[in-house]
Amino acid sequence: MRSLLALAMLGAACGGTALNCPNDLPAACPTPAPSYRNEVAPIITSRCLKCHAPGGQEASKDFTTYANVFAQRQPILTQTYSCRMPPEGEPRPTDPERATLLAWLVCGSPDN
Amino acid sequence: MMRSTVGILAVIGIAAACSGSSGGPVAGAAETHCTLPDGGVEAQPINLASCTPTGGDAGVINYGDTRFNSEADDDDCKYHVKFANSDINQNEDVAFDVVATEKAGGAPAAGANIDIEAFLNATHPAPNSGVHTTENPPGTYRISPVRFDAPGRWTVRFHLHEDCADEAPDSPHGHVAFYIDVP
Repeated sequence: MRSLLALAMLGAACGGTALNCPNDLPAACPTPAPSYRNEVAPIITSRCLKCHAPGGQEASKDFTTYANVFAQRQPILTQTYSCRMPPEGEPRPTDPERATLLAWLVCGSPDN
Repeated sequence: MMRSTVGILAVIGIAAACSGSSGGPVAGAAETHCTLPDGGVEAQPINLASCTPTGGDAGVINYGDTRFNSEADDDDCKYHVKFANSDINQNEDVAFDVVATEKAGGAPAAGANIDIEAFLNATHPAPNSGVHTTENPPGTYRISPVRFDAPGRWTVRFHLHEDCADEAPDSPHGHVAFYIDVP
């Protein structure tokens, strides 16, 4: 009985990705594309750099420069779109911020 | 007798015509990135106590190459990962059964809470489908439902201990990616 209970607990123990994450990826790049300097960088600064900067918890994934963000655009898109990032307990992007960031990433992450 | 044989063959033919072929891992050369020049094997031990943020040097993510077939060592030679999948067709739910073992010692990689990241290219991630992971027995994971919403050659990356910082060499954090063809 005890082993059955342990098995059941083990099976239920693991988590996963956010179950209520919206399917709101833009179907195409909007015109004009969101501006990295004026719109996207401030979002990254406020939502990501607490950890993704030198000295932060995720310093190996440094988002402090455009070049670094561009190099990591694919995982940034999948992690943001699937609501894995920012992690639980950290402030989430607002809906407009999320829309701007996703649109910029779908546009190919231009340096604009 | 002849008529029933023809009937059976007709049923088999119709079934074959309707089933089509589903996608899956892409066959290719066996990967050997953890094999040393002298024929030995690189195996990075992990330490669960190293699952802490350390604030190491800044940089970018160093993912390894995407792998062929359905088993490979992870990018840092910490784990061996192999998987099986349910039928893969566009816009259908797919389940991945993943078995992970530690390269050093061969123990099941228990409690790794394997997460999945699937994308067709840098601007096309898999749709959100409420993917979740269960583990049973230790080191064996079911990840589902994963959905591929376009045909093509996708990349599926499994992340182990994703909640651990990837700074210390013996951090349990690990990742390995595979090609998946979607018809």
